[in-house]
Amino acid sequence: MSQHVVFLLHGMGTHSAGWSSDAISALKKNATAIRYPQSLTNDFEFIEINYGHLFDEYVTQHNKNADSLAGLMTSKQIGAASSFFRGLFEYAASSLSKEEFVVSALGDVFLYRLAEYSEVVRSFIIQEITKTLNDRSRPQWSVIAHSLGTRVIHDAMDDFLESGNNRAIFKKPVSLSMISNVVHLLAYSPARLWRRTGVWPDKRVTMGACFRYVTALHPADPFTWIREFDPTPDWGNNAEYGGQYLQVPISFKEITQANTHSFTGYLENPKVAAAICWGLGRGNSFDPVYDQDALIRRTARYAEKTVQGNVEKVWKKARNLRDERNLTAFREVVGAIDDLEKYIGNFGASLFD
Amino acid sequence: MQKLRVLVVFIAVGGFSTMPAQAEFADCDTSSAASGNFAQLAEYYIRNCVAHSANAEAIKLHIDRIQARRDAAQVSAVIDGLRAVESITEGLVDVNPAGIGDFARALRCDIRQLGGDVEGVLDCPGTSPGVNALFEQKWEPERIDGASGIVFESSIVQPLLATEGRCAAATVSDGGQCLLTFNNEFLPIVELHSIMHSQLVPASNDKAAEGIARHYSVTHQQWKNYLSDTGFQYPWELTFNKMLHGGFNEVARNRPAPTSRLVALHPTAGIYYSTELADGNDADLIAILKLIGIKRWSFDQATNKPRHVWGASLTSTAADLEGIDDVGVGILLEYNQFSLGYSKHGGTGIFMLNVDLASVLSNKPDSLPGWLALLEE
Repeated sequence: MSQHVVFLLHGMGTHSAGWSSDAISALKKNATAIRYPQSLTNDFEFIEINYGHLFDEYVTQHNKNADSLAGLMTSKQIGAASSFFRGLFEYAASSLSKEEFVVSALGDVFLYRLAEYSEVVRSFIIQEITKTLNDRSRPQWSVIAHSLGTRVIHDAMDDFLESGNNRAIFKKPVSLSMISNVVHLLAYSPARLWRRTGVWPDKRVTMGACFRYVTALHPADPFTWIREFDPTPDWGNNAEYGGQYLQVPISFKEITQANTHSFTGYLENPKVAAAICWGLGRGNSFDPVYDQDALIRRTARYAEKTVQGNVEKVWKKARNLRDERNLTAFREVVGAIDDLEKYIGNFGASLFD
Repeated sequence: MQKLRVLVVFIAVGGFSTMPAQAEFADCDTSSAASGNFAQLAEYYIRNCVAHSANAEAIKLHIDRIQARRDAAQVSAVIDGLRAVESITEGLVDVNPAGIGDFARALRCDIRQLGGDVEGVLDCPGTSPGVNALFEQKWEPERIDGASGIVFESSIVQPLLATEGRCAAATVSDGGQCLLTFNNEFLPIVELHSIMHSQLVPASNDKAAEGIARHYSVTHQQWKNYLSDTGFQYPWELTFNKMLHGGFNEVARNRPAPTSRLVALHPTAGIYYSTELADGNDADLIAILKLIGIKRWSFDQATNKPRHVWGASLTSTAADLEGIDDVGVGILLEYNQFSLGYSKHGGTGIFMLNVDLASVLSNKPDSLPGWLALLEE
């Protein structure tokens, strides 16, 4: 049987090949630990779709234009013009930093939602998906998307699956796993989004854009604060999506990294990994499955790695020292404090993930 | 919930006691298509209902067999699938004889073409929609960039409706005999065409799938080349043009790349030329602000790049000009990378060349073919 293809879409910013490897490694470890019956290595093929270069090209074009203007225009030419005129020229002649463009100006989001780049990105995504599936005789497929990538794949599916031919030939994806789902956040009109979109989970092959839909939102992730992805009953024009939609319950305490928006951080959480496995199902049966007891055990171990888990560990050892009052207990407290210090040292390392 | 066969009969005819002759149709809500005509109802049925029909379920087993094989055994599986469709065809009663006759003959021609046994004399002229179905271009999705994506709406449904002339313009809600005729005589054929076209044929060859991938590849190339090869756009221009080309639609739809765009508040630079300046400085740099303008082009079908990009803009200009106003207004005409403008500074007119042209002139070709090649760049 051919491998189930899982496309991976990144969020905003520049991503080089291999950007997902840490996250997928964490997902695979979790899948093994919760006894997901499929092998994520042998039964699935994970394929990154990197579309950030399309935004980078705009920055390159801008800077090329700015360089030519800056080399020619001086106050000698524009000094007599109005301040509005001069302001436009000053903007036009100033270079953009790719990093600042993304982080400060949310440039990718602007280009995708408010400028003409949505079509070029969307057609690129569908081109990559159709070509990849054709090369593999059109196997089952799914998508795991992060942040801006969730809106990108949402729009791509709205576009692609509207055609009966596309749907009949390529089938709809088995699952859409939306990590830090910003589909609702980036809606022009939320009411219209829920009512009119074709992207919802549905058991029927001809309806909806997937069989199962997973949303993961960390309450400490700032991208979820303004407008959370919380489907209304009229999602998909009152579609019956119950049982096909799963929103992962993540608590505020489940923080292992300073960057709560990190893709890897999300996939390190066993509950998120279990939800993705639920979405991917089991072979051709479409039965979602994993071992619930194993997930509970895995989640308990994960809790030890959180900020709260590390602080509690020190506190527990301190209470033990108070009761025992011996050298062994003292050494354990010192060890726990040492571990906490290392943990805090690594905590901020994810900020650029 | 309203169901197709029941809905259209009972709503439109008001409780007609005659049930459709064909009993294998999908249990499917078609209420949102009730206000359209029969072609729209057929299209709706194809899009939303066929996959749930018993006939489609029966053929799905064959499709799974076909897709599981990529060798010589696949041909045998395809023939089996075609025979299964033929078997359904033979079981139909009261359907439009011309329509089902063409369809059945096409099926038999396909079976014979693939090496299967077919009894009797068979005329396969190659003109019927289904003849050589698995190989012919005509079975590819012709309108994958269109609104419906249903290939045979125009080639099958409309001609069938035309045989009942008075029904062609009727709406579903008119009901009556047209509705019964459509249900009994035409819908079974529509369903079989849909199964054949959208399921069996794509499973049997890669043409349709490759056509869809090619379509999106072309769409992407044209959008990408539009953004890179029709001149740089400032953020506000990108936003204006998004509004111009479809606006901020919540639901994304496949759209071909545009062949025109607005230019708005676009700073650029050029060289002016005038013999009327007091200091005798006939040519120097000038700042040009394209206030509002338009660009148009077409796409080269071979390269998917814009060609013959021309534009016209109203401009505001500013330069250090001795003896005349430093600020003026004018027009700028553009063709590919060439621009030529005229601007009035007070009562004095000056000509402008775009900076791109200036860079071209520094490496000017020494022959006519060289100039022509530059024009096409």
